[in-house]
Amino acid sequence: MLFIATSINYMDRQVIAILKPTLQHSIGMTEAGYGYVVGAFTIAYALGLLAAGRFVDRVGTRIGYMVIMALWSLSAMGHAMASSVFEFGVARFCLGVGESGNFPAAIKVVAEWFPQSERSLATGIFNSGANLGAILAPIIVPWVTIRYGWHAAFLVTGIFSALWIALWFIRYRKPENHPGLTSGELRHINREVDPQTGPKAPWVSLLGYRQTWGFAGAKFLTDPIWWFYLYWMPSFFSMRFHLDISHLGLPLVLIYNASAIGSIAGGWLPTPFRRLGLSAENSRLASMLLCACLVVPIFLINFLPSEWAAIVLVGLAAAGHQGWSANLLTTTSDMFPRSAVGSVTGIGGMAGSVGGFLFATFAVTFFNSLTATQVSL
Amino acid sequence: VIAASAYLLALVVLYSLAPGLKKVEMGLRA
Repeated sequence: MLFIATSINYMDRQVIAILKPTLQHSIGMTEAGYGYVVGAFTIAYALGLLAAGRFVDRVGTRIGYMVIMALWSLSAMGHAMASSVFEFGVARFCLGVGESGNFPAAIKVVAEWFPQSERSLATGIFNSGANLGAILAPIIVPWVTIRYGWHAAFLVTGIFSALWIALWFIRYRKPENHPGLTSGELRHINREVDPQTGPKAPWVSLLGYRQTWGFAGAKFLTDPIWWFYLYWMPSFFSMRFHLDISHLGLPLVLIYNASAIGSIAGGWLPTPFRRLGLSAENSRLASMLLCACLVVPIFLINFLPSEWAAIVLVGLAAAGHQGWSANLLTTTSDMFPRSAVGSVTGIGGMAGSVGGFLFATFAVTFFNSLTATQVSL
Repeated sequence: VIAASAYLLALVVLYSLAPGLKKVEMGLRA
């Protein structure tokens, strides 16, 4: 369920990027207008992370996840009614607020349903849904748009979301309340942690813990790298290796697939470390170190003669990032009681978004200077 | 180079602020 929700999440946020040329033609959306619409999403996503994490901790995962999914799905479908840049901006803002809740809610569900040693694998599996969404959107959206028009493209993912919400409402219960769960299974889930869900702490008090800042600091430093891969790699391949749009598809699909494999494999990585006798926490840190090392060769990318060698390096780095991410996200439930996991994930996500915004500004300056150098040459 | 070093730096930051990923002790609320 979490994997599907994450796939829908990424599909919904990608629809507008794929429809950009269509919208420019049909409603006269300019580059500046598109920038405004994207900006509305980014700001809402960053601010929403703080609120959504706290919201999920307060109302619980069953209702919280449903409300979040309903908000982002209605907002995604609301794009179909928009006919001006302002209206797209409003729909995009609401989408950002709703979508920001996916990760805090999903991480909290994982903390509720899995023992500590299995959480990063569960996180890695649902996190890889992002890559499926990123691959499916460019296939489904053009197909629907050609047959039924761009309005339908915004509506189609709403069908998936409605089914998901119905299924979640019918099926999802916390382990303690799940009628199909045996006492043995419940013991397995709670075997490494205090079964108590943890005291509810005021949200602001979480900012007083060094662990919160450690997690947020790590997200601030590493989330921007992932956004860089997503948004700037096509430009990099185009500039460095002169690949046109018709030749960018395969490299991107390969990189996304490497990311999905990295996410799952990285999530599994603590298991062999546990078998070697390391504690759950040290296994997590050792796995993160290994994933961090996979990213290091990326600095060679400017010296590579062929695009295929560059794809291997970027694929390795993207896999390393996703494995890192699966473990980093799980550190929240390593360090905090379940009642605070959503809030801390939200705070870290906000830090990651701020880092992403700052890094994107840096990347624009870098690409402008690169273009200027090429022109002068 | 930034991408290559960001993760190692992040690990240092995480470990400095949360050595061994030590669990927080939250006070019980009545």
